[in-house]
Amino acid sequence: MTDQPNEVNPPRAESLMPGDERNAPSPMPGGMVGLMPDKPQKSYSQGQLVRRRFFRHKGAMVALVVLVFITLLAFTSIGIGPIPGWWGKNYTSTGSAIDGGRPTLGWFTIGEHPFGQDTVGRDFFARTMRGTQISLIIAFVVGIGSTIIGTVVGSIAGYFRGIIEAILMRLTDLLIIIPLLVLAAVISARAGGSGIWALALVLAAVTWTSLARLVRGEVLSLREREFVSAARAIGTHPARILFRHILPNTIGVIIVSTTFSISAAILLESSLSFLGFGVRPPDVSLGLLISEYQNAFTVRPWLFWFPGMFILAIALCVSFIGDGLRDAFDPRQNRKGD
Amino acid sequence: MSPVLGPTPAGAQPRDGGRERSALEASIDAIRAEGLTVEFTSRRGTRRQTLRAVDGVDLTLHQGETLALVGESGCGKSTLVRTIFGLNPIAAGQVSVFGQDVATATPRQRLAMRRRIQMVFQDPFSSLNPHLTAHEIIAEPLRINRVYSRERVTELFEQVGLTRDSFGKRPAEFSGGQRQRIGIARALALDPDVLVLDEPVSALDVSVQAQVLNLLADLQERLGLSYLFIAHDLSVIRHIATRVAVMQRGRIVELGTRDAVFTAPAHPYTSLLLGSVPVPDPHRRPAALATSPS
Repeated sequence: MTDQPNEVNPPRAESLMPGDERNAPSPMPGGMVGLMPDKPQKSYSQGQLVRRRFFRHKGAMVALVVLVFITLLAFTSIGIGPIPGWWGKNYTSTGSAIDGGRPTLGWFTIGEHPFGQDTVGRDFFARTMRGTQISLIIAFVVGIGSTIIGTVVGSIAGYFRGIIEAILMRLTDLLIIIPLLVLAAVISARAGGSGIWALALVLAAVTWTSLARLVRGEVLSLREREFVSAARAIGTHPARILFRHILPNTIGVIIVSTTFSISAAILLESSLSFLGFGVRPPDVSLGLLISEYQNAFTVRPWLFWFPGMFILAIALCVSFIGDGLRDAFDPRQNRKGD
Repeated sequence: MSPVLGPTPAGAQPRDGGRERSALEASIDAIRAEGLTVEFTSRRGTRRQTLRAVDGVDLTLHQGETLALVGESGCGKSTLVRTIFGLNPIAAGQVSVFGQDVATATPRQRLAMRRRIQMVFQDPFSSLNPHLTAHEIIAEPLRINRVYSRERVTELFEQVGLTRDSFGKRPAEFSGGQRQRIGIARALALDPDVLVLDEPVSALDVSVQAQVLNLLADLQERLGLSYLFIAHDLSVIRHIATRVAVMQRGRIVELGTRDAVFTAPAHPYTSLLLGSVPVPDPHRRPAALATSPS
């Protein structure tokens, strides 16, 4: 361009038609042609796009099916509350252990006690189902609760900076330096006996810290991006900037952290139950079942295997679903799911 | 575009937006800075250090012209722009937008000012929210000011040479040039009079640069816009500017019409800048450069 003669009316490049940029290097690997007027691209709303991409993610779909199956099995088999389930036995009544309480589950048969019986003859399938119910409730309440608290604290601290950030982040640091288990144990001992919902909320109230720091970091970097300056330049309200321009871009971090915190909640609950601060007998959770029967591992391994398998299955499913969700929300994903 | 080397004659601004400027309005300078000084204070312990980022700048952007602001990085260009948008405290002097002093503007006046002066950002990859569709990005300023209509968005799309079928696409599906067009459309949404362009083409490759520059020239002609064009690429400035201001260490060291600055630079720094432009044809290189050891 420096070769141009020094005249007032600059010569124009050939054309202004948008089609001229079709050959410009495309940032997409698929090489999708941007602006072909003769071939209109079908466009989807954000929600549709996310749904379609999620349903195309095989791992996530399998995990979702398995998780739904486990949930349905746990809640319908022995019922919940006053609602009876289709499984004839409950998880508290004792009886004589048949055949040493060995599982009767065969390749094609279910038998009397498919998961066996424990030392006092309680039906272990019913106990595992009850444990799964409790663990699922705790895991999801903790996962969702801590995500909400962590996101709110982190985004406010990151966006508004200054004194608000100082207060919120010192509070977070304070929670982090106290050993989680001790903190949870003390609070749940205080809240003691008020049931699993209270326990779940207590766990949520002490596990949001890592997400708060992650979200704060993301928000700190995003608020300096030019699209946020652009939003400010047109006079956008701070709340709208936060909810429309910043938080949607942190969704990947939030989802990953939520899936971790769901798995972690199951384990934290088992540790607490093991120490006697979490779920208390006669109620059971998967973690409690494992710790209760860990000594029986050599003689009655099924008392360990079945709840262990369910913990593993739930944690894996949650991770896969989180993976699928993160991919689905990623705007740089080119796949439309068709 | 006819040569415009000074204030636009009153009333010579046909706008498709339909807002006619009165003769009095048209004679007001779009941006006027007088003795503008901006300082930043950093505190390290008890020691205070003052950095004077903009140092007594006098600068006027007349209506309808393109004023290019050149200078190396860190010379205070961005600070100057942010001050015009009221984002920095002013240490001395004043800056006014269409006769309205930025420092003393009430929030309401400031909002009105923002509708008249808009910004196009340098990096089209970070200036668009990757989660929103092109339609949403351009509709955003309209929605905030409650003047949204689908027709207006379509009109803006067409003004910058995009077609309707890219409404639903996200920034990742556009090329750099197309994204910058979206950025320009967003800046035009509220029908401003002035665009501040912060190195709008420096992130694009050269062939696309020319297209975007032509688009800008075209829009200026059609909408009667004034541009404050910030750049470090002198060849781009030669292409688009009517006047050039050269900035060094917070001061304007040279200000003149494009031809005057390019043919007879008065300040040694300007000559230095001009000498550092790479010239593709070795026979046309300035003698001093051609003979210098490289």
